[in-house]
Amino acid sequence: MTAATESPLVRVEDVTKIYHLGAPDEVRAVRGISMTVSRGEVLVIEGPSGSGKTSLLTIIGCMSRPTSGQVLVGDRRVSRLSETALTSIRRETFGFIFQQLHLIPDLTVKDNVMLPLFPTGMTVPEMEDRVDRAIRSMSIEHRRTARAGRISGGEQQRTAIARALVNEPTIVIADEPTAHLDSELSAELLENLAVLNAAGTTIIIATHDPRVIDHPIVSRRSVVRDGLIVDETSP
Amino acid sequence: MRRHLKILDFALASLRRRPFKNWAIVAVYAFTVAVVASVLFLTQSIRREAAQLFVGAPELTVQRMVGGRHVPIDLAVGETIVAFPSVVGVEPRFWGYTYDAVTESTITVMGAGPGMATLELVKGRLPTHATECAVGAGVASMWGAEVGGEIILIDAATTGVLYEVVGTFESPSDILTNDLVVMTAEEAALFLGLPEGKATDLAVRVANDNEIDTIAAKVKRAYPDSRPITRSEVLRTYDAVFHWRSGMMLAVFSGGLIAFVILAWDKATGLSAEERREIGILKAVGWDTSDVLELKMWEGVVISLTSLILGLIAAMIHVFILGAPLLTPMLRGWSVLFPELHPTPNVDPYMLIAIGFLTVVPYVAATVAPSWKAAVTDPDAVVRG
Repeated sequence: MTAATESPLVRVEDVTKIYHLGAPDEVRAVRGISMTVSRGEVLVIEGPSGSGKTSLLTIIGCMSRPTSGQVLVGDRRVSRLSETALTSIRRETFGFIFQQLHLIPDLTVKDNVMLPLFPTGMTVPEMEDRVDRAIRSMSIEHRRTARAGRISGGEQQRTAIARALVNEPTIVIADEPTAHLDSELSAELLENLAVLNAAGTTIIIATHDPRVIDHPIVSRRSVVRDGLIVDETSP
Repeated sequence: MRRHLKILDFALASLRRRPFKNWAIVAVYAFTVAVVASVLFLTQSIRREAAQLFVGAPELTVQRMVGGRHVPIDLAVGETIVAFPSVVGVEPRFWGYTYDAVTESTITVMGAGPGMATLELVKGRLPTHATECAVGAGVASMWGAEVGGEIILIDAATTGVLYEVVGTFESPSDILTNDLVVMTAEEAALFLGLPEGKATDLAVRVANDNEIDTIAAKVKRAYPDSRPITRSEVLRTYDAVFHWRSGMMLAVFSGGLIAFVILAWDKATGLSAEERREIGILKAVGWDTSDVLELKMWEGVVISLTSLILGLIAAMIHVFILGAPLLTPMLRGWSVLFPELHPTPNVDPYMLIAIGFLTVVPYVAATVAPSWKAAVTDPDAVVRG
């Protein structure tokens, strides 16, 4: 575990997220949460299904906008930025590991990992270099040209992590990363996250898996219930 | 620029992932383009060629009509017409048709004279004796008669007449010469059973093109039973005939066109769950809406341009190299002895632009439009699975 420094990397101020606002099926997923994420920490957002942790995660990761409240990434107030600016911050700052991994099965491991780099101004050799490093860091060099749909679950997971790392993000966001993994793969994933964190990457994990919550890499836990943070602890 | 090229590169990789589906689209699309382009190339080529051939034709042709039928005209009429101001010459033409039972074809018989200027002799010479003739490529081929050979034709009195072939004609499209047999004017009149002092029609040369209509009106006034036909009228008729035929052909193939439109409409009205998911993934990993739309645009452009180019090449090969064997039964001339078409490769750039505009633009729009809806959605929908 890397010691968290004092400067907040992300600041969430009284954020709410309401889906289908004004409709009969309106859902208040986040009900006024304020929190900070510090550089180098491993934050676990803990809570049962439907508690609002994924909504909070997507707001922090600039994948959706809050209904009200403010989100600051570094010094930038991102809540009301244009979609293009938001995409740019998402691309440059965050790496995402999705619950379902969300690889494109027909693409090779290399192309899947390269996906975030296509719309950048990077040259092809630079891209190749980044992809090589990310793939090497996940020890899947031998599957570089294999189609993502034809590799093992563990290899798919490492491909997804490599993709999250390829843009060298400051923050890695993982949404229920162990939800579909057995104990062995879960342990492998947490080891990989520990290595990342040791290298200085801030990690935010949404989960209700005790294997993650109780893992020694976790530096802070925020417990979410019904769209509110009800508890915060630092193990 | 680099960014656009990389997105194009990804679009190509993306298309390669579904080779069967995409090649199937290209095949249907290219076939549609090839059909439309073949019809347009062929009709345009024929019209252009006809226009060129008729450049040397008489400015005015005068026929006589009785009871709505074309009947032989008195040579004396020509003597009156030649006295009109601006008329520089009137020559009688002797032409008609004969059916050849051996080859089961209708042959055009013509007396040597005006109009010959537009025809090119490939070999030999024009006939100078009553027993000689020059023939078009189709007649030569059917009879296996080269220069020095002989053919037998049935005259107006149903008597077989033997002629020596002294020349063969050919023109790039064979429109005028393929089923043609040229004899001396006297022999043609005799062969066709034209009465003494009569001709099939009269070819009138006019010094000033602006005077043609005036001369035609004067002829009509002087001879109410005459039918003056100007060259421009013939050209207009040709144009109209081939416009009509090409329209009919396109109507025949409209089933294919409609199938293509349905295909495009199907694409336009929705994305598959897989496509939506992929767009969500791209957005989630940092692609902008404009990047996703650019990707889809490139996919559409690659598919449609590939299809357009393949379709145009296929149409050019079909029309200009193979002589349009699939279209000529509907588009070629009126003769039973069908001319073998060798249309001159001549493509109007506006036509290419029109074909491209009518195929590429709708297809690209059909590719991009449904993606737009998926691309503007927040990527968190993907995160939620």
